[in-house]
Amino acid sequence: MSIDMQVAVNAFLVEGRELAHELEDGLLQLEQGHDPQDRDLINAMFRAAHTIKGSAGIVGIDSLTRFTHNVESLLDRVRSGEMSLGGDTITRLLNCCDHINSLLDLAENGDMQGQGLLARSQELLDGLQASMGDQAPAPRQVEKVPSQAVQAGLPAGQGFRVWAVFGKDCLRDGMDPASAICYLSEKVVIRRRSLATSRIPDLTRIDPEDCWIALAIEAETGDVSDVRDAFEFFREATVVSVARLDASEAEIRALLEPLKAVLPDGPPAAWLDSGLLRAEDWRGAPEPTKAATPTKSDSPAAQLASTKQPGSATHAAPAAARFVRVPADRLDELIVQVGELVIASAGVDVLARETRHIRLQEAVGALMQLIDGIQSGALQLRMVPIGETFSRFQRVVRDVSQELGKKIQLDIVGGDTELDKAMVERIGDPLMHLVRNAMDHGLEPPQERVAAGKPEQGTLRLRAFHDSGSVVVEVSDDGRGLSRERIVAKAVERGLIPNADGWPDQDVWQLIFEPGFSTAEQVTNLSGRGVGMDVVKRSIESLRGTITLNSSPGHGTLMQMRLPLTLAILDGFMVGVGAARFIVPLDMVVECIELPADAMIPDQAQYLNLRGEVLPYICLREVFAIEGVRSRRPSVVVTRCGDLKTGVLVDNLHGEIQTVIKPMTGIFRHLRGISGTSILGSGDIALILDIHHMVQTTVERTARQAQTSAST
Amino acid sequence: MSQLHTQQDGHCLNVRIEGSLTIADVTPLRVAMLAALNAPPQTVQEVRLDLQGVGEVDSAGVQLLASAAQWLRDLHVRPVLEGPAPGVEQVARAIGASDAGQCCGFQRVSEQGDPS
Repeated sequence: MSIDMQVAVNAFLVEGRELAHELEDGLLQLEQGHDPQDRDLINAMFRAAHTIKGSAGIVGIDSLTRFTHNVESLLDRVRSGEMSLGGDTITRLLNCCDHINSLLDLAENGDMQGQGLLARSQELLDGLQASMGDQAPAPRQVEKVPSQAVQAGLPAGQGFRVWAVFGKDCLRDGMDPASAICYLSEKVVIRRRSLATSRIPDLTRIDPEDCWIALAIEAETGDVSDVRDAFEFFREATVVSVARLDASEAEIRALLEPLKAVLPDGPPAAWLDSGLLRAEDWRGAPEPTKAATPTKSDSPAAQLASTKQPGSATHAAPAAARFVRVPADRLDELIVQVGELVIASAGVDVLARETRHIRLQEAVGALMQLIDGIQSGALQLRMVPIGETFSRFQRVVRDVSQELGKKIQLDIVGGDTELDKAMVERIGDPLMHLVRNAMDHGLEPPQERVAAGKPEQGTLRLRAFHDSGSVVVEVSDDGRGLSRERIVAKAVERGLIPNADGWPDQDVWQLIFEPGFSTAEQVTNLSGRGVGMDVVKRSIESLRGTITLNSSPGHGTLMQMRLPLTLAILDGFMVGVGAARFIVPLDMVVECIELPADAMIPDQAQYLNLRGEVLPYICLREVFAIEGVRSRRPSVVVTRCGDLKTGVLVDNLHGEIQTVIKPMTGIFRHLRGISGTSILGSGDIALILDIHHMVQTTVERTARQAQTSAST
Repeated sequence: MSQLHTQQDGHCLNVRIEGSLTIADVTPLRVAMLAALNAPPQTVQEVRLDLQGVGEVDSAGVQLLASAAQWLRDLHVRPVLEGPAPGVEQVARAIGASDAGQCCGFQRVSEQGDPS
């Protein structure tokens, strides 16, 4: 495979998955009660399948071309009104979406023929055939919607009239109107045609690669589907109206409306002269709206017109043109480079300050500000809305609720909340655990809900919002809530606690984050094996986030994750021990105090007396075995990790610092207590502390030491 | 790739295009046409276009010819098509730019050699 083709295949693998998701999204909308007659939605789904098929053919993924052709055929019948999408068919098509993704996976691994999934392909295609066979062709829309008879359900052989204004870029895009007309003329008998030559600028003004072709055609045979097929590839940029030859004046006038928007100078003289358009029909058509939006109509032929975007430059560009697809690793590389730039500039800043050269310092100060802006901009490039991640749960909720026999509605709030792409990728698994847990344990079966006076359908809500420089992601349900009694009983049974007398509910809820804890009486393939919540908590904490839980018996449960906006930079607090520098994440710092002389609790070297409160502490000098003499006036940084307060004993406080995180790699990857490093302006390296793990390690070490002393 | 040749014969400017007439050719061809046809001497009353040497054609090519014909008419110069042009005809007919009397705005020549 040539390099160019490999690039094309790689691009299609991304696009194909997006299109499959688009198709799946449309199906789920229909299943959730969206108007099945919504032509925009049906056409969008058809176009997704059509583009997958076409693009797969171009890049040589034959398995996908063959398979998607059948999906496309079914959707074509739906959009032409010959069949409707019901429960079974939607399920089959959703399975087809999964299969399209599987075929893309195979193609990614070099299997363009889908050899590994031939049997599954056939099974699904048989299902589609059954769906198409099950439904006799539905009555044509012309019969159901008489007012749209002009455009719909043209009986074969009756003929039609077409007015087409081609998009300005269609020639550049490789779409030749002549080819489309030649194709059409193979299927129908064209009686007359007329090109609006007056629309073509003269030789001094024309950009010859722009398309100025506006064409009227009269065919004495054929129907609207022939026109649709012929103009299929012009859909995004071309306005086409089709009218049956015996259409009424009112119907023709309605059809001409979208054309008026793209022919602002009036009807082309050539169309009038040829008799393919009557001036009174044009005059009778309503004036175009300011936005020149073609009218919406449910009929297939009008759809040709209504889905097209006029080629005029005054109209919004297609959505695709507003975005540039950039490989994620290039963005990552850019952010790394910008991080290096920030570090290098900090070094320059330090040197400039040492010179005491005011103008140099001012110049460096201005440079630092610009670099700061570049850093913010670069990080912004990697921010993506969380909505796409949320919407993928539509399918999960649908499948799981069917499997469990529950009625569950997914409610998504704040889908446009942005956070770092790296973060989005890493919260997928924890989020999946929480969603599945809520569906399996939280939400009740319909009969139980009704008995409890609740609506039969439960609600699972995914919500995201920004709060104080963090992103908060919530998973909540209106289910039965957590059972204090069952949690306490299980915790006692497991020996986690002797009893929970006097424990507030909030503390009891936290027990479900203990490893291996589960109160599920029945282990399902979804959850209940006691693995999950502790893993979820660890995952969130590894992202420098926190998770909290709130529950109200009978009313539901709320899981709230608080995450940093990005993993690339950190607002920290720098401390020193001897010559070494450490950074504590700022959001964990509660306060900093100078250690009072009487604060040490006699005979309890690991605890401090903080204004009457017993505060366990860690001495960084001991943890990292730093030689030298302890400062005469050590300080304590009081940190909070969850509900646990811990002191960190250090020699000096250096203050707040925003730092670029360099992750631990290679042999340092598994070091506990250090989550990363940062290079300071002076060129020194500071270790970023992972307080949670450091506390845990210290507790474990102390416990081991106590055990050893007891045994000896 | 297309080439444009001109030859003046009294009041008539003969223009011959050879090669292809597609989206890939229209931009340079427009420049060449403007250079050849721009400000024709006062004596030129007719431009006779010979397309017999044209092979591949698409809508962009037909559109360019129609644009040239429009411009010539504005200059009161008669655009005339000299001889058959099968490649151009097929595409021009498809998009309605050809009939018994003209092709791409260029008047057909009768069997006697006069514009029909």
